[in-house]
Amino acid sequence: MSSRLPTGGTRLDRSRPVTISIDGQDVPAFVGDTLASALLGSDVRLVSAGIYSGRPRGVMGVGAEESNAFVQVTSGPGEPMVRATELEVHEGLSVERIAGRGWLPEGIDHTRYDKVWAHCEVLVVGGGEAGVTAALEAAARGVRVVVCDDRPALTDARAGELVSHPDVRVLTRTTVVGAHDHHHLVAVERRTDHLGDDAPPDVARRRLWHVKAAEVVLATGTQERPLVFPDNDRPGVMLAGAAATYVRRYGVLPGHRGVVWVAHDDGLADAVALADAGVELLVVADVRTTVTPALADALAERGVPLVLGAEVVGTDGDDDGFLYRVHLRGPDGVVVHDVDLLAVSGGLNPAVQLWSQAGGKLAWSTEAAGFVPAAPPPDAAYPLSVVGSALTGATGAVTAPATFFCGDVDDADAARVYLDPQRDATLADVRHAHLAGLTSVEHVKRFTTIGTASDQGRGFGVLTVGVLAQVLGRPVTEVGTTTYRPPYTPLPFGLLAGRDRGALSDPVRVTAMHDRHLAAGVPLEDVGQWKRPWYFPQRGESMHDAVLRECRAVREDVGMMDASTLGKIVCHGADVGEMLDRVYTGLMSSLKVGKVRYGVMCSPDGMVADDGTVARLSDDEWLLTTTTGNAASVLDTLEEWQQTEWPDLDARFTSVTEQWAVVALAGPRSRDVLAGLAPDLDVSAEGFAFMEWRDATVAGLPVRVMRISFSGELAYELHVPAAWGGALWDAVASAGGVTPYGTETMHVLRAEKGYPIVGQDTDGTVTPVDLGMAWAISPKKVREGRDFVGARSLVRDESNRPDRRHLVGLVPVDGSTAIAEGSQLVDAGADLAAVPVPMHGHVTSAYASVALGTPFALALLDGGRDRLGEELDAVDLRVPVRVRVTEPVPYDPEGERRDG
Amino acid sequence: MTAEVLALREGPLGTERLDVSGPALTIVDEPFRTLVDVRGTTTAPVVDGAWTWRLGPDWWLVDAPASDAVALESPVATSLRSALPGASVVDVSSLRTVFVLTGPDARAVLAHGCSLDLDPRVLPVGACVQGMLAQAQVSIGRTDADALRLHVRASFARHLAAWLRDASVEYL
Repeated sequence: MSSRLPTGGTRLDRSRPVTISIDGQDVPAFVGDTLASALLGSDVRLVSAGIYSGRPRGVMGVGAEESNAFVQVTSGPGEPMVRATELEVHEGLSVERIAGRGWLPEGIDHTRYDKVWAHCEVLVVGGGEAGVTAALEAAARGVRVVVCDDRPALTDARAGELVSHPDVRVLTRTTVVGAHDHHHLVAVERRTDHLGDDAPPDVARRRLWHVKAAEVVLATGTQERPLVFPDNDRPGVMLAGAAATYVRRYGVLPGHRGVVWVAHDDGLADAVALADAGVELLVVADVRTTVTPALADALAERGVPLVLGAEVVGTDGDDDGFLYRVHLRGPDGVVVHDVDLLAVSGGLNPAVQLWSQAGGKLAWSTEAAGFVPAAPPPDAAYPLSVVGSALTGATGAVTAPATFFCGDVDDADAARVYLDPQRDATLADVRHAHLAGLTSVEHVKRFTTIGTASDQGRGFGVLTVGVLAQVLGRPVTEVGTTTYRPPYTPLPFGLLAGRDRGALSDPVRVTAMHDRHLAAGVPLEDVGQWKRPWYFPQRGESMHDAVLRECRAVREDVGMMDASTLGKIVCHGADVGEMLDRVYTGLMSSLKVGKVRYGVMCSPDGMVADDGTVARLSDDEWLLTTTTGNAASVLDTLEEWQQTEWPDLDARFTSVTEQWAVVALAGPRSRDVLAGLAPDLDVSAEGFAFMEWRDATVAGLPVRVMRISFSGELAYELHVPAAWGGALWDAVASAGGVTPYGTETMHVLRAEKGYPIVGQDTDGTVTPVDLGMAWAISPKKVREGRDFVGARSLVRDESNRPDRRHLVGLVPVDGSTAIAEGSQLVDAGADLAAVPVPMHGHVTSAYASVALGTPFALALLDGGRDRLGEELDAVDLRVPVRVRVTEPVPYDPEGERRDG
Repeated sequence: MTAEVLALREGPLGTERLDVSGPALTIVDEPFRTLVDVRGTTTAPVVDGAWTWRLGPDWWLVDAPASDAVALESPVATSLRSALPGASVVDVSSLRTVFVLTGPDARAVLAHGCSLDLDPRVLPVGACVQGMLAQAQVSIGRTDADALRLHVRASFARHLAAWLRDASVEYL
């Protein structure tokens, strides 16, 4: 049997038949159909089932207000919980029925998702008559206009004029889902879903629009509200306006024999339309006792009986649970009608969700029998207006609509009055909530879950407010409505990700030498967003062996590494010295041109925030280096202190991190290598001392050479404008016998010298003194009472307690067992089954050391400096390693190797 | 010797080029431009043949043709340094790189990843804005009704080039 009319259907293209399937059953349809209209057109009434009750459910509405008909799309990339009323059909569309919850399709969704930011002076939400009028008026003012409408096309006669306007952007199949602060609205455009396999693969399937609008006009219209009664959820029970819409848009008869029950004039008009379309209407009932005569006459002309002051008191289902009989109580008692359609309409709710999201208030209007926009958003700068039926509810009504939601239902039947079919929540649940003492609509919503399903109460939310008012015995105006929050309709995660997935999910930052590292096939380590060479294995070499070899090369010969990721900041101005004195713990202003100094920065709480070097390039120009990870935050810190606290200081800061590619050259033979590459540079210990810099020509390239060491060995940093970074790397690599090393070896070498890494050996609770670096705090500044960031915190008693955690070294007592990073330090032989195990600190860094001939670690240990020689257990995954506490500088503590 | 050393330079994209071309869109990279960051003067620095972008009230980015000097600092920076005493003049030729987008679709491509309003009525020829594009910090300046210059930090250049190629697919 088919309910498809031979003609009609404003959205149908009858020249393009397609075949879709539900649970493997083929269903004929036309391009332009939704899944709901196609199913109704073929008399497929069962679409879903109650999540807990398992009761059969069919199509109830025609748009976003649908609360029943959700399916799992299994063709294409697949998608759970799709509203049948908004799912446009295409050849090959395949869906499965679901009971209240779908499932995430397996595998990766390879279709494209997209985002666009748009700016306009006027955003119009809704492309109906009122919306088109507002948009044309705005366009006539010569401003940029965006119009969003969730239907496939605008049907207004003036749509062509609008679409062709150069400053108007019309987005169809686009649902505005969020009205956020600062006039920022978010919309979802469904671009190719309706094309199925014909969708061009390069065209993003859906697009998320971020619209910044100076002014927002809501022309969102209304959403139909049902009436409820026992067994109101059967397939065959529909909204009257939806039923009439299926006739008009899709040429589909929603039923053959029906009863209509309404509470307002538009519902009666829908009944007339259904009668005209050929539905045999046994009776039309209105809860009101007075209706508009013209509508009553229209029904009479069609021979349709009209009963006033009537209400539906129940339905019967057939063996499948589908609607079979309606029990209608009129002035003359209850009459039972055999039907396959019961069309109900309790009113038209203004679609005020976006108004509410934006912070606007709602108030019950008796004239509209619905919640209408009241007080505007508290942000007076949010120019939000509402036009058309979204402001007034029904339009053109002559006789006022009734404020009516549900008749008298005894407790035995209340559990079959469904107030949220998706949640299988009922009138009995609301009564239960009331008995539990809940009176607020927000509380009742959360207690009963009504309105929390994926339709977010669009179908039954206002109705539930009315029912609650009945239960409480209070007027609807006092009960009020819940607050609407984004998103208006659900949006998939793929859309939130947009093209920020896979390789583009997070920027990968690379240095000027990156192609060399790739060509060498070295494993890369993620350091923040940077990719850095981790180690440089020779053929068949393990990481352990490679790191030991690289360490030995630097300790005994010479090595090179790509140190380009160091943060670098040029500071310029007459007061930079003073500024740096205030942000570093040490004294910087006394630094001479040509010299470099190590510095530690604290946050205001006195904890170590970063460390690095300061080079003085000229009287008023300085170059700071920072740790790789803190380059941006150090620049921000400098800017913040200077701009907010010390604007009188003449100092400006420019990041130059990527301006300079840096090759670190380290090891006792590094001086010889540098001498060979830079014959004009005096590299002698006297001519180029530790912590000095020189401009030089190295391998024919312009290079700033800094004698800095992060390994304790004789070492240089070669800074070259990054365009020559690759060339410098090649030149040093071919200087002969220079071993490239990676970040792992760098970590081992610095740890052997007890150089902490901020962020690895510190965690924001560690002072310079805790690190054993009291020497980095300028005694002169302290003596003279000069302030610097963190100074006051460092002299607090708390900062100087003897039991603070200190940085110490650890070696395994057996001289061979590796210590794991992150191990907890407990008493030697502590009972690990105790709860809790008393804990004294933890391991922050741990490595094998070729220089020491033993594994070693750095750790933060309670009162550690007073516990040298003590034995503890370092416990990782319940396995203890007996360790001995040592000085934190295990290798070359006198620093004798620095000069080669 | 100078020519040989100049030939050793590599742009942030290495041997790859950014070369996107559609009916109403082209995107190319312009490596080796001379870029100089100037702060501490409210007077726009003037350099022959260069764009000067205003990044802030006393902050400028000079975008000049490539230099043929082998030096730690480009000659443009050196001459600005003496012309603008007291200002901070920093050569950033290698810090950033330049992507040029032309054609009616140029703005549309950037709108896929940039929240800034790039309408010519908001960003006229000669004006520049800073912000985020595809998670990378950029400055974007307009040189013509349909032409935008984009300055991106070198370490982000490959990411942004890949993103631009991907964002352009519907415009090719």
